[in-house]
Amino acid sequence: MDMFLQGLQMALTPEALIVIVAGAVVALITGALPGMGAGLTMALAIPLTFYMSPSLSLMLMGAIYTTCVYGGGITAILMEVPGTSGSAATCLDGYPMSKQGKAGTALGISLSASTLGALASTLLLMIFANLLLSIVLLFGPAEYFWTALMGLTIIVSVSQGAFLKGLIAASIGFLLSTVGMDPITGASRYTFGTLYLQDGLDIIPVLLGMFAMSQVLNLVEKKQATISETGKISGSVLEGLLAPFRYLRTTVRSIILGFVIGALPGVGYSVSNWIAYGMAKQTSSHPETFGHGDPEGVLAPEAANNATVGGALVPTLVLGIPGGETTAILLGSMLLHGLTPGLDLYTKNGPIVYAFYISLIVSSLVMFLLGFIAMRHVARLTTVPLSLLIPIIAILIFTGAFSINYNIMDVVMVVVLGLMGYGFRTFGYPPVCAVLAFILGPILEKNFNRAMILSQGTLLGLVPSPLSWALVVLTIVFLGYGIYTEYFRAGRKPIKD
Amino acid sequence: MPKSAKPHPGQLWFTIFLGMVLLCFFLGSLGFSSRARLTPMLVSGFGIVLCITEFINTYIKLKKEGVNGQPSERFIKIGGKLPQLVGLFAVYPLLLWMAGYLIATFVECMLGLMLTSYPVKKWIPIISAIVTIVLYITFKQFLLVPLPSGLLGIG
Repeated sequence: MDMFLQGLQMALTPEALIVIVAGAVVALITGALPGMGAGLTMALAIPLTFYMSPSLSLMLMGAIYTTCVYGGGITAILMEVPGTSGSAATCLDGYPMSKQGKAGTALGISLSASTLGALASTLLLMIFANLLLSIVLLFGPAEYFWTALMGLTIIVSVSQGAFLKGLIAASIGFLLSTVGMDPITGASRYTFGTLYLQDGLDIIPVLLGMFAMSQVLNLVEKKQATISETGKISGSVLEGLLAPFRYLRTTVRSIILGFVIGALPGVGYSVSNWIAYGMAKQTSSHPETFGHGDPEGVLAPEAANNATVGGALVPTLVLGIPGGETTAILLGSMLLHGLTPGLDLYTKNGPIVYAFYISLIVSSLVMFLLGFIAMRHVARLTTVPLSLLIPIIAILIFTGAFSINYNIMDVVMVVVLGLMGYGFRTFGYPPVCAVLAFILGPILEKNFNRAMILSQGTLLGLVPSPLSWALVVLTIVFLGYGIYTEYFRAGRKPIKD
Repeated sequence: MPKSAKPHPGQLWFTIFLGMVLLCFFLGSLGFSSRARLTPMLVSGFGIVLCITEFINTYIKLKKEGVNGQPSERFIKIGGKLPQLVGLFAVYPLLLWMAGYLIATFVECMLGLMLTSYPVKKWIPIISAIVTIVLYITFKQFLLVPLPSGLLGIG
């Protein structure tokens, strides 16, 4: 209770509120801009968080994550262009509603459903994170090793159609994490005698290069001069705001579905919105109206995609296993501030965690207010030419990378890793596998070595308890699933978060 | 064999490139002490085997399904402005070191806008100047980042 009260104090300071509002404003805009999304915005914000306290940094990231997911729905409704992959299903009924002159109603539904989804999933996060934490208490080095390996296996396995490529990308990411001093022997590895590489590669240039820079290069490929043309808003917003309460069953089901899917590593809001849409259609008494402007067709994906945020944070905060790109970036920002996920996070930095939870609730409310005020204007921002965005974002990435260690070599690393990330994206290698392996690599290596030292070099030291055996079995199951879907099942599409 | 989208010959080259990167890591690990080399050697060796498998997979698929007569739209686009922009981005760190943040950022932004064909030409220098000044003030004044002043000492 003490920790909660301390967290409450942290989250309700004027500073924290300014950070949350600023993050939400930026995220509302970038969320609505197709091609940008939560991942790129969060990656760009990391250098700024370097100058903040750990709690403020987490609050900013949380505000961006939550609001970006909502922002994607605005352009999906008005222009049939989803700002993020989490709002793709919203187009199906949102855009027809706009064409019928009910854009205001659809935007109201999206805003209300997203807010409810975000609020409910934060509450679920608080409950389930504490439950999972009681299991983490039983963890030793071997269990941490297997958990990290399982996390990596899951991400690779769900990169459907790219299992082998996922493993190759993960190998590269893992090897990048070995650059620098060996944690056990202290020997230098791949440093070429340079001081820059002695401490290993910093996580920020890796995140900015692999995710942000490669995304900018992807934007260069886009044909259109602007992201979209502006849309008009008509129809009752208030009617839309009340819709989630009118369709309460769909709302609750979509939130639970979004939360559960979010908690599964590798399956983010890009999947949950479609499943929630499909469920809403299947269980509806009037499925024929779906696709022609049914309010439930907007409600279900929008509630689910925001509920995914809370779900995705459970394994990230408790186990240190980020489920996708956005949570990997969040984890990177946490590590930058010395916040190690898991038991340590909750015991040593409990108030910060509670402050983060509360800030997610505040962010949801800020998102609601901002969305209500700004939804009409945000749509116009998508007419900004891409030719303007590309150089500005690139310079922002470079400046951000430099500002971490005041080292031009970090900028060079961003360019190099950006090119590699772009190659990954172009040829179907999931960059998230590389980044995740980069993050989990040191955890794997350190805990493997610790387990081996504890067992005096016998491999049985890797399976000292029934819990570790269970984790081994789960790892094998996920690996088997990956092999099965890659080689024995046809008709899959890659999952992207 | 996996039944995914039709491969492009570029995939083979990229796989070879990744294989070479992994091979470099493997050869590099040979010089470490026995304890320090265990992880990099295992991972890079595993990666090389995977790259060879992926190469064979893609090669068989290419032989079997053939390459489209026309290169895909995606690869036509890559041939456009992308290499020039990549070149521009690659030059930025050098420019930063030599000319300092103010000049490097202004030049980079201006050339970037020109390369991406920003529609209103006369606005390009103005936008570049605004972006440079806003970022300079934000990072230098507010965040107290010692932005590079270059060999000329400007900034």
